[in-house]
Amino acid sequence: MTKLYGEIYRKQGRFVYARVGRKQFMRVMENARKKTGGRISSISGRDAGKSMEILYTFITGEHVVNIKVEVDRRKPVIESVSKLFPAASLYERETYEMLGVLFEGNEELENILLDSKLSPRFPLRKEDKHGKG
Amino acid sequence: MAIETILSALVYPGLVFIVFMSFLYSGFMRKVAARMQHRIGPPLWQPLLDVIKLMGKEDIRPEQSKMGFTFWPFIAMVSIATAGLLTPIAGSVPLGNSDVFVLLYFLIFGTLALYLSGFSSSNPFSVVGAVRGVVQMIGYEFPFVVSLIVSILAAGSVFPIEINNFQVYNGWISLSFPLAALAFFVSLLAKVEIPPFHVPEAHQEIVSGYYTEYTGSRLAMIIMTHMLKLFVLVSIGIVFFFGGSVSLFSFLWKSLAIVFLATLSRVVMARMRIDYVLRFCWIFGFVGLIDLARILL
Amino acid sequence: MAKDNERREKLCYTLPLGPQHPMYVEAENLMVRVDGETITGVEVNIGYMHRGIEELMQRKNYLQGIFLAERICGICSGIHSVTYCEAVENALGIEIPERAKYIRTITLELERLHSHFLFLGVMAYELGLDTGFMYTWRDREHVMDMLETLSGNRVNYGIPTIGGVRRDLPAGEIPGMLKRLEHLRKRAEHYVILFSSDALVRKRTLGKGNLPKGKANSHSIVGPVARASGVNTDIRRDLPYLLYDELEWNVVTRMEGDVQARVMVKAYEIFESISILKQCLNRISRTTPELKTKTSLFVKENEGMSITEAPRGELVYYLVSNGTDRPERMRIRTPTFTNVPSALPIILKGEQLADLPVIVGSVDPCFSCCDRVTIVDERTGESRGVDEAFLRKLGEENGD
Repeated sequence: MTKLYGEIYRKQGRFVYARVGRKQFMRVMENARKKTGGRISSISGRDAGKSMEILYTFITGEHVVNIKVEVDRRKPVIESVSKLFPAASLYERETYEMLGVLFEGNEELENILLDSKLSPRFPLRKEDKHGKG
Repeated sequence: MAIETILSALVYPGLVFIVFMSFLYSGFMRKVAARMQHRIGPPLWQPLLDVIKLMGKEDIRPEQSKMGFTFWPFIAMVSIATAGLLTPIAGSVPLGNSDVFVLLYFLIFGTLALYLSGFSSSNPFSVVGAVRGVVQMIGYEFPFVVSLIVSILAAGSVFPIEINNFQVYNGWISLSFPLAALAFFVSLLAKVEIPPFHVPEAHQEIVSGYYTEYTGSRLAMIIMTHMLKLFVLVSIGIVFFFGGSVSLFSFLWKSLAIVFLATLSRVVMARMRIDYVLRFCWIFGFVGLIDLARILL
Repeated sequence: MAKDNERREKLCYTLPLGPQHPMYVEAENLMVRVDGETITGVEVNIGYMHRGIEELMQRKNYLQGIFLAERICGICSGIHSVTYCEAVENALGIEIPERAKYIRTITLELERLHSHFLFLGVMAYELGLDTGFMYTWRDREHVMDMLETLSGNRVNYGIPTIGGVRRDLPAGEIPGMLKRLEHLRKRAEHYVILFSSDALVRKRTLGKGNLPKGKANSHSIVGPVARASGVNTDIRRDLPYLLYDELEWNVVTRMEGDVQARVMVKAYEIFESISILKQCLNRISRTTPELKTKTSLFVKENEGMSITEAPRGELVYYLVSNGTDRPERMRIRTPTFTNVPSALPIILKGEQLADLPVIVGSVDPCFSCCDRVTIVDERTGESRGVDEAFLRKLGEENGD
């Protein structure tokens, strides 16, 4: 499994967590889809202080593989997987609107839940706890 | 002579009686429907309470609504009430002795006025409801008119009072011409917008349909028009098909029986889409034509 | 010809449905593009039920988070709290006692029952069949009574806790529950007949709102909606949790993918739930009375995850802990969030406007689950205004 998903760093119950570098990310996702036919269940973003962690929850039959990518916090950009997995577009929009991560290649990247005028920008970022953008 | 006419038109079997009976039928329908649905339901006089409450509410007129918004409900109510005054009730006509065409005129005009209320609202939901109402009219007028023609030909007169007496002496027209009676009953359900024909007011889809924008006393008028319509159609049914009546008692039990059948339909049926309504009504129109052919040949 | 086109143009417009509309239980906005009476496109705008739950959970401790999770949705409150607890237990690395598993399973399946009966009632209502609505919800009262016996409440049960459950199921209640379940099973048979053979219902549900299997797969549609399109997926079987791998039950699928198929899948799932419940109720007496595994609420630095099958589909909770008693990050992904924005445009395209409520209802959207995240910023006051109004509306509508 390591070859497929990157460096596995945790196994907890049925959940597997793997770390993937920014450069190998797209290739890993394409391979995963081709080899296993699984689907993206969820994309979770997290403000980890020095970087942004993006977790792709990938479900294939009996396995749940969480593929984690780290991006630079000052310039959080990553390729979009919405061409591979149309459903991912929704989660990428939510991650964008909550944390400001730009998903390159996603044409529908705009707020999905929040009102763009009334709500504060990127509310789940740590520095935004007091309303500053 | 004059005082008798006025009393007849205003009190019994005139306006007071008609209004009272309309409330009664509506309350009866709601209570029976509730019991069939395993609920307790509102008290019998609930429609009266509703109308009284509505009269006390603020009558709001949206700025963008057209001029007719204010008067169409009133015209509708008056038209249908007049139609009620022209139908024989328990053997006597409250107002004068006109023929069936005048009666039909007021009935149809009143219904149209109701949908015109929807058209003069500024709300797209109202317009959709009004459009559906008019389309439904195109549907049910066919079986309605066909069935009435059968009854007229069977009784040999265009005066409702004479058709009433004809039935009292010669038996129920619906027994000789059941298909026409069936067509009539279907058009009754459609005219009063009882399920499966509650398309114009489909509130799952278009809020309240043509009366979405109305509140206060105008909404009260619309609701009254609905109740009056049911009464008028039930009376027409008795006069033209279900044996006529000369006594208050026979009028009462026959009308409650018809209302009960209508309630059954209301409780059991789901809603039709408007295009099915057209097809469905027209099929019954042709069913009624069978009886028409029978009587002509 | 030009005049025809002009008239055509006038008939093409965008009908905004929502946020308030009698069709919805909760506030959403569907921008429906119509050409006459035919729908040419749908844009789903969610976010009206935003309440800031993910952020709130990050400010409260794990125990308080359970009650937040419950209140994400009124219909599926149990599954949210259980999935939350499972995620925390996953991060803690603890196992809950056998009896707690039984009680959790019983709560979840009862909730699935009440959700599915509610759905049947809503479908009847959308079809104009008021009586069907009254009858299904009357039967649902049996389920609510059972839930009240179990938890003391009809909604927001407060049953699961970190490490187990908070209340026990009294043994004396079991025969009564079994009787009620049998009654419900007979009623469900009646509703299956109603929805599959009533002429008017068939006319309005067969062949409508088609979701092809390929699209369901590519767009990751989950839950009964996917199963009605032939996608054989059910988290309770694929990634078993609680007792689902020890009990005997079947996954219900259909191939047609239309409104009728979706209704039938949910109706038959009622039977499966009743079967699971009966098995649990018959076996729970063999468990030891332990209800909870003692555990600290301070979770070491770790990640925790749990995936369950909510009544509407797959529910995912992911949590990052940092050694304190508060989560560093809590991520909730609900089935409706996945299904509605993707599926609605597909299944509504080309259908008649008059069929819209029926088709939207068949997907069983739970918009409260859709939008959970925003921040209520006390300083600016602007966002507070928006949220207060919707919180009030939520309070009015989401109570049972």
